[in-house]
Formats: sequence, structure tokens, C-alpha cells
Amino acid sequence: MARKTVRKTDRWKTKKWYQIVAPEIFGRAAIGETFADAPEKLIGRTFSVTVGDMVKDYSKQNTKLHFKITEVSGDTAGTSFTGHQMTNDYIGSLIKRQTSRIDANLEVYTKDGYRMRIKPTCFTTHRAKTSQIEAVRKSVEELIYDRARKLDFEKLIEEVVNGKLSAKVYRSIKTIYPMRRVEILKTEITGTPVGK
Amino acid sequence: MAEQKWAVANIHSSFNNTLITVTDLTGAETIAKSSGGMVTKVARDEGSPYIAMQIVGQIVDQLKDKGFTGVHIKIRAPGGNKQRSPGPGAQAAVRAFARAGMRIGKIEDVTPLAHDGTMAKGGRRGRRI
Repeated sequence: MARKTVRKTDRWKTKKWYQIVAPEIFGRAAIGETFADAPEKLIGRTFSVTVGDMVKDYSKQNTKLHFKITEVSGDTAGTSFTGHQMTNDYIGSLIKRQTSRIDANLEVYTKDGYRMRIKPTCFTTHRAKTSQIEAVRKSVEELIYDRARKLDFEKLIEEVVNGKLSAKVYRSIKTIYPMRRVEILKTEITGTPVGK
Repeated sequence: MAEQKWAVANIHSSFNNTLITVTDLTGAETIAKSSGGMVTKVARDEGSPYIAMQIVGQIVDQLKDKGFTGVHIKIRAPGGNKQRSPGPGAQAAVRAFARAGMRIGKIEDVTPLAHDGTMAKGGRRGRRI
């Protein structure tokens, strides 16, 4: 037993701390720390941070941004953006009885060739008929496909994260049926263009 | 206090046990861990709030040795086709962290939710006692 404890403390001391740095899109801000005994062990680790922490605005704690460590230089670890997600408890707080929730699951290509999965959702004020739900979903799909085709990857991420895209969707579909809330629940990056 | 050093406390809380694993922010490196069985020999006490406090006590000692000042908290219940709400130890554990002088960051519920799957145990007509 004694030998085991000694070995454990030694291992802790040999580990080094590394600063995790956000990718270029988010201004290469320092977002956290991690430790390891060898730098190559850092690669592939995932890490998430809320938008509130990134921009120092505590009203935006409901959106998480996911990052993955891709490169290590010195004691900083560079990351790439892998997607975003709303927290479960926030989604739960939006769901109400006697209303409809309209989900969609879209695979879009951005202007510069990134493939992304975008999951928007709309909450109505009252229960909608199926024909209305279908019309809303169709309109949402068209708008988001169109928007993705026109924008570069970075611009699209920015619009999704700061809520501009969901505001746009809201404006376009509220004439079909009165809406309470529109959110982009989740994005995932599923493919990058060749050569990147 | 010069700098804040944060860790993540992953609390798994069921009716029968409480397990806490403290990791770094990426979740890849374990810093400290403990569970009901490490502080008591009485099986039915493993999930109780009092034992949860003792578990946290053990963990905080190790954390302070290693220089951590705060924890983000991720609570999970059994989830899947079992209970969705955390057991009796979860609340006590969070409070014990605060009482022991750790800063509490974000508290998040990370219970795995089934998008439909296998049937919950107990049979079609429920558990009959």
C-alpha cells in the first residue's frame, strides 16, 4: 500500500499545466486550463464553455460552445470549434402545455464548403394544426438553407451563437402562426472542406 | 488568493449510492474520487445525505492539497429508463462543497435522457408489492 501512495503523488507532480485557447473565430481567448504528463495526450480532449463566460455577459449562460484540442505549442493548447448546444434545463423551461414545438434537423453546406448539422426549434403560442406546423417547418428549412449558402462558416457560427439567425427565422414565420420563441438548439460540424 | 484554479465535480447520485469524481475541465484527468463504500460499511447508508457530506470531506482534502479553489458541478441521476431526478445525496454534496470553502461555479444537470429505447423494468402492469 505504501508504495502505491508514493507513486501517486509523484505522478501528480510530473504533470504540467496547459492553457486552453479558443480558436480564431472567438478571438483566441484563454478559456481554461488542463494538465497532462505528455503534450500529445492533450490532443482530442473536448472542452465546453458557455457564451456567458466568453463574452462576460451573465445573461447568456444557456448556450454551451464545444471545442476540441487539435494542436499544442509550448504550454498553450489550440482548439477547433465542434458545435454548440443549449442546456437541457433551458429547453425544459421553454416547453409548455397546449402549445406546439416544431423541430427540424437540417444538414447544410456553407459557402466555403463546411458541412454542418443545424437543429432549430420553434415554440408556438397555441396548439397549431399539422398543416400549419408543416408550413412553418418548410419555411424554416428554406430560410436556413438559404442563409447557410450565402454565408461563410465563421459568419454563420456568429449568427447562430449571438441569436441573429433565430431572430431572422422568428420574423419570417410569425406571419404563418404566432410564435413564442425560436431557438437554434444545436449545431454540429460534420465535415470540413478538402485541404483544411 | 492569487489565482482561481477550477475543477469539475461529477456527482452521480442514485437512491443507493453517491459517487463523486473530480476531474479537470476537459474531463480527461481525474483529480480525486470517492463513493459511499469508501466511507461507510453499511450498504443502506451509501446514498444518504450524511454520507454524501463525508464523501465531499474526503475529496476536498485532496483538492486543497493540489491547490484547487473552485468546482463546477455536474449532477446526474441514473437516467436512461431509470429515475430522472437525482437521489438524496446530490443536494447535500453540493452544499458540503460550499461549506468546505470551495467556490461553486456552474451547476448543471447532465442526466442522460433516453430518446426512447428499451423498456423500463417492472413489467407492463408496474411493480406490485
